Amino acid sequence: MEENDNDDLTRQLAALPRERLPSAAVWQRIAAQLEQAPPAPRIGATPLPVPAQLPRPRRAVRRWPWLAGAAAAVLAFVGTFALWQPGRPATVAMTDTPLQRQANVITHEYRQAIATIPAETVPAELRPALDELDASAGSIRTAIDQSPHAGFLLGQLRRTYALRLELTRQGLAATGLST
Amino acid sequence: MDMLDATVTLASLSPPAVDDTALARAAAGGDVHAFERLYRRHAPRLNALLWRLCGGNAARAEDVLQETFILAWRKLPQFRFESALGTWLHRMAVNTALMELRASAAFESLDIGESGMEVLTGMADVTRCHATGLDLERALQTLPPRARAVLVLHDIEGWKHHEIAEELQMAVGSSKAQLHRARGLLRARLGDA
Repeated sequence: MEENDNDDLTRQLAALPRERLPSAAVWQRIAAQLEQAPPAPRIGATPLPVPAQLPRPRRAVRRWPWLAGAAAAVLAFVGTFALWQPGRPATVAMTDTPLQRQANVITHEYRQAIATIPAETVPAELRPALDELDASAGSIRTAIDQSPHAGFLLGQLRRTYALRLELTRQGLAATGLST
Repeated sequence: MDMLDATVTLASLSPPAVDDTALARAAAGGDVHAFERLYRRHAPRLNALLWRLCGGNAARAEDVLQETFILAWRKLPQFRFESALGTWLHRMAVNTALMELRASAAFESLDIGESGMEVLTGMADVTRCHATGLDLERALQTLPPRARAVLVLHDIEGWKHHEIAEELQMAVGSSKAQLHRARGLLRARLGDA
């Protein structure tokens, strides 16, 4: 059955590229999950509780396929982060940390930008996705309050707001309106 | 950008300064930085394999890649270093991909002959001036999932039939038969049968 192991076809197959770079979002999603999924104990050690099953990245958005990767990264991240309980009470800071102050600035800028777009002009079919992104941004803000030194959250917040704005603009463009 | 364009060869990179064993031991102890280095080192190779197993579906392949490394992180403390870490990761990736693919009815279909030929016949002609590798990748994507898995593991990844049979839970003879049919389908598509 393996008489053709050295013919042209098998040589071509063997010569195909062996590596393919994954998108940067993959490691970001993995890193977010490592926080709540510590390595299993070595054999013989006292077993730890099994970590909660994590939500899987969401799949493509049919009409705005360019959003699929970014939205999946944001939503998967937020979904997993929402399940993450660091095991300590939320920080009740009398004074905001620099990271929280930056988050406030980003949120303020986002709100100013989104306020220029009349809500009623956004296509109804986009509403669920926009609502979900809003909820995601809220979850990230909560996470920042709980972990006010986790710098990577700032990037997530910025990307979520950027995605929300871009999706809104795309929706307006589709209806013939412009921001 | 064409997904195929993202396939890169990194063979020219210099050997790693820190070996897998040291990184794996550190990662097993909870060192995320060491684990990230392992990821950077092995992910491109695994991603190429998963991309082909998933029929060229990059998003699906990356989902499986993510699941594979999460699983690896959890299981690293049990890794006994009896095989190369890369081999261990490859098997884990293939296992994870197969679990994903088994969810699709097409994967379990044994009718790889006619259905595969129909798919191939229906595929738009590939312009012949394209690179042979591109033709081949596209033709690979049209194969029935199980036949494609056998061919990818045998002819591209260099697995033995008994290894494939064990992983795909089939007889060695079935693995050989699937490979024979997969090659036949590919040759038919590429016009050299």
